Amino acid sequence: MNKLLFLFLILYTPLFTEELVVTLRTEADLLPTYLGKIESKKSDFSGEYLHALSQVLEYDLANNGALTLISDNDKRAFRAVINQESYDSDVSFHRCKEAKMIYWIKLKNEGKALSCKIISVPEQNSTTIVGLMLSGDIAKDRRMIHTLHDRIHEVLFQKPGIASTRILYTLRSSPTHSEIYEADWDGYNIKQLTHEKNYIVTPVFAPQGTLVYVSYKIGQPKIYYATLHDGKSKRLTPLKGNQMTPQVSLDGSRVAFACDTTGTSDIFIQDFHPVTGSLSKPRQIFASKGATSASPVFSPDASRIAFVSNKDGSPKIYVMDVPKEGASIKQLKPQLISKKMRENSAPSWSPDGKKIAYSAKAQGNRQIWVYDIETQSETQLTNGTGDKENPVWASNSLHLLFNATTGKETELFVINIHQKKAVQITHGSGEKRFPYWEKSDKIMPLPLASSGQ
Amino acid sequence: MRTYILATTCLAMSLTMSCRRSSDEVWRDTKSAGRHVKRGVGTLGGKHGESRAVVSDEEFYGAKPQAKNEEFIALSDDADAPTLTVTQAPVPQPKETPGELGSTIPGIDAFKDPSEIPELASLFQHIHFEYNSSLVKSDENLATMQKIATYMKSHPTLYIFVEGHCDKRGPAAFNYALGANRSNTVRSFLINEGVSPDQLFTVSYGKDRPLVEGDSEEFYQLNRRAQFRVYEKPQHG
Repeated sequence: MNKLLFLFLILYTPLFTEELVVTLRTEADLLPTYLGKIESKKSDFSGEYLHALSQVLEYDLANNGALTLISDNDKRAFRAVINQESYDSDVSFHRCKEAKMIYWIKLKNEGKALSCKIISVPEQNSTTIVGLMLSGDIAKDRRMIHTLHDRIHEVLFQKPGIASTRILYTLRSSPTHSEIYEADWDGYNIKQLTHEKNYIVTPVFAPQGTLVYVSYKIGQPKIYYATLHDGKSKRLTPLKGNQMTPQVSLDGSRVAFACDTTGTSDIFIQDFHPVTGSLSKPRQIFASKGATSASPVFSPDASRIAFVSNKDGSPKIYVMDVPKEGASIKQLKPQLISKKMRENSAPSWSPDGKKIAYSAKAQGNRQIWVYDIETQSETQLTNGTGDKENPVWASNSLHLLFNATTGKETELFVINIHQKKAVQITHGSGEKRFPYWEKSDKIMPLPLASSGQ
Repeated sequence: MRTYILATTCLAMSLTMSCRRSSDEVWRDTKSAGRHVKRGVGTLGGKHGESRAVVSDEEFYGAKPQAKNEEFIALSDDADAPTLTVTQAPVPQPKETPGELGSTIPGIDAFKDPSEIPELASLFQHIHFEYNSSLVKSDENLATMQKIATYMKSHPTLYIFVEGHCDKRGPAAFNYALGANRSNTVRSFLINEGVSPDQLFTVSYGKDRPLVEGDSEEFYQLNRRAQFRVYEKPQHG
């Protein structure tokens, strides 16, 4: 019997040692949506200009993780069924249902004014947004279209979209020069934020328009904060040593970072005000002799942190409660969450608190993984060639932004956990790295005031 | 019988899956564990293999961080916590930060590459590391650091930046911290050899400043390094 059992194990064990790659079972049914062309009447703008704006909205709708814009073939079929698609014509919900359309977005431009009609077939109702004024400045009008998308999203799903949120990243043009840039979520409207002519890495937004980042301007990497009001950068803390990978809590009251002031890279937190800066001495919250610890990130309520440490060999992601002041090293209870893969790095905690995204090596390349806190499961989100790192969540806890090598350069990509097709949003020379996504679910009221720079 | 086989198979499967790692990972971890044990024994035996009496916990475990200091609030170090380590005991930072307001030492741009200074070129050789490690191994590395220590003890106006670097394969953000640990390992060694902590500074560049570009184990090894920049403070009088 023992020989039979042994033979059975020999024969069948290899079947269970193959690597299992489980993709997220969150492929939601994306809702078919028809986006009509902008109907123009005595427009102040060219057809080409209006088409460019239409493409902005098309991109936002197609990548918001909730809708799917119907194909050209299906558009033709839809038009054949509904017969009349002008902005002011009555809608036959029956025919829309027959054409299996869920939502229909109509747009009209008269002079400078843009109007939008959102038709919901299941609800059999229509909502109109009026009073949007186009300026002819493509940068401003692109932003307004993003805001329009977010309003459409709010109408349909009772929460705003994220198309009008901004992203940060660094553009490294040489081994000694790296600056912070800002852009729209689709990679347009790029604006250089820092001009230090030095080396800056790992920027993050804090509330009230404050930037927190690492700069090498005095030689050693140090953390600085700068408000967008006066643009002056100030040191976060005079703590000696290399200061690295800062992250700000969602409410802006704390900064977590890595620092080697003790002689090894440990994790610290610092009470913080986005305008006035440090409010206390930094506090060491994790240390492990001989180990390298880095990349701390807060849970949404700032009661816990996730971080990377190689204390047990290969770098892994741990989660632990933020210890109280006076705690001892022995009291720390970090919980390992990245068990499947090696070389885990750069955790990012979703704003809804339910997931942690990170990078880990799989099949020879770094891929983006998502850890579900409730089920304690790890799932690989991306595939293919190129090393993908530094994922960061949008405020909707659905979209992720990350950087990936694409051969010669490093570019930024957006992905959402429903659609899982990464979209490249940056191009051109220079390495784009360390992205950060503005955490704001507020959208600007319409009609818009001037959006400034 | 069937139940017995099924139960045993399930048990075997669960063990197989939970211990699932590639043979390379197992070898790497075994190698690491063996190295740690060996070094631990070596540490007990004292430097250079010469046995000597350890006279205090501090000497055995290394310098402990203070419960409170001026700059930050530290975690308290528990004497019962497992502290046997194969690295040099960490040492606090120097009093000044070069280039900072009020510092008597200029910023890093004033520090030179020692390979451009004839009398220092052969002395300040690069120190190399294994992947994902800040441990210094090999007699060659140790000999280099000892020579540097000897030189610096006799040149108290020489200041050095120890740069920590990584190869391109590791994750970028983590590599800043790993580079910092590499530079601190070298710094700690020099201090333990008697060099003043105030002569020694560290900077980590992660994988952002490779020495050589390319994809080979040889190139990766060259890039996993600590290297030096030097500044001779003018003597007055």
